[in-house]
Amino acid sequence: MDLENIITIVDAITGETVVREMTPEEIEAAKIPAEPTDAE
Amino acid sequence: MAVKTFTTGEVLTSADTNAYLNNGGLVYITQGIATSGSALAINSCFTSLYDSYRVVISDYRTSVTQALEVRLSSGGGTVSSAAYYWMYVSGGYATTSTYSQIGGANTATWSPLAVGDGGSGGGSSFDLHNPLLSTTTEIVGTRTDPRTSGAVGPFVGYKNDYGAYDGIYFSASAGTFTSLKVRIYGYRQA
Repeated sequence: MDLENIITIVDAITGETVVREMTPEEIEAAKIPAEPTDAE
Repeated sequence: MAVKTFTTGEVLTSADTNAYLNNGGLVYITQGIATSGSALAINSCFTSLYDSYRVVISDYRTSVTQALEVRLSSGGGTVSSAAYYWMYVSGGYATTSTYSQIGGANTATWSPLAVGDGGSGGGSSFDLHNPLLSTTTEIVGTRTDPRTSGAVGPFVGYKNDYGAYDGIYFSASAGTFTSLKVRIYGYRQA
């Protein structure tokens, strides 16, 4: 298990906390792009 | 009415306690505590009850020196990684340090609002304005840095879109968290 791919998720509505491995989609979505995107 | 003036001898009822005492000023909403990993997501913490929030970070300890990255999320955890603008003016701890201005335009996160440096317990706090409203979100805080060579100063920024965000996402620029405690409060509205 790669510790860097562990995420803690808190749901403020239910109060539930989950600690698990990030899915490949979550890992990809969390990446910081090398170049900023143009929002204009 | 947000404030009530109680008079001598007046009976303090549960209704008045709940309306005026329990929800006065800053109102505690939730907390998130990470003891491992590189990400902490706090979902559904921004609601229609408040326009503005206080986010408090404490006991921020890390596996390596890192910057704390902050992003907003929506729909129960979809992270937005675009359109963040930020700037801080920083100086060192020496009395004759040189000041500098560091900024980011249209970047993937607000960073670095806080620095983690191994066992040194970093902390910070910032206000968020309008995260759930259909307008820009503003962040106002202070950059902290628990290193003798650190750079610290006021931090300001905004998200350049009109998205409605109901959550907040913290990530590490490198390594992992060994501890990260985040508490969220809402500024009471009438």
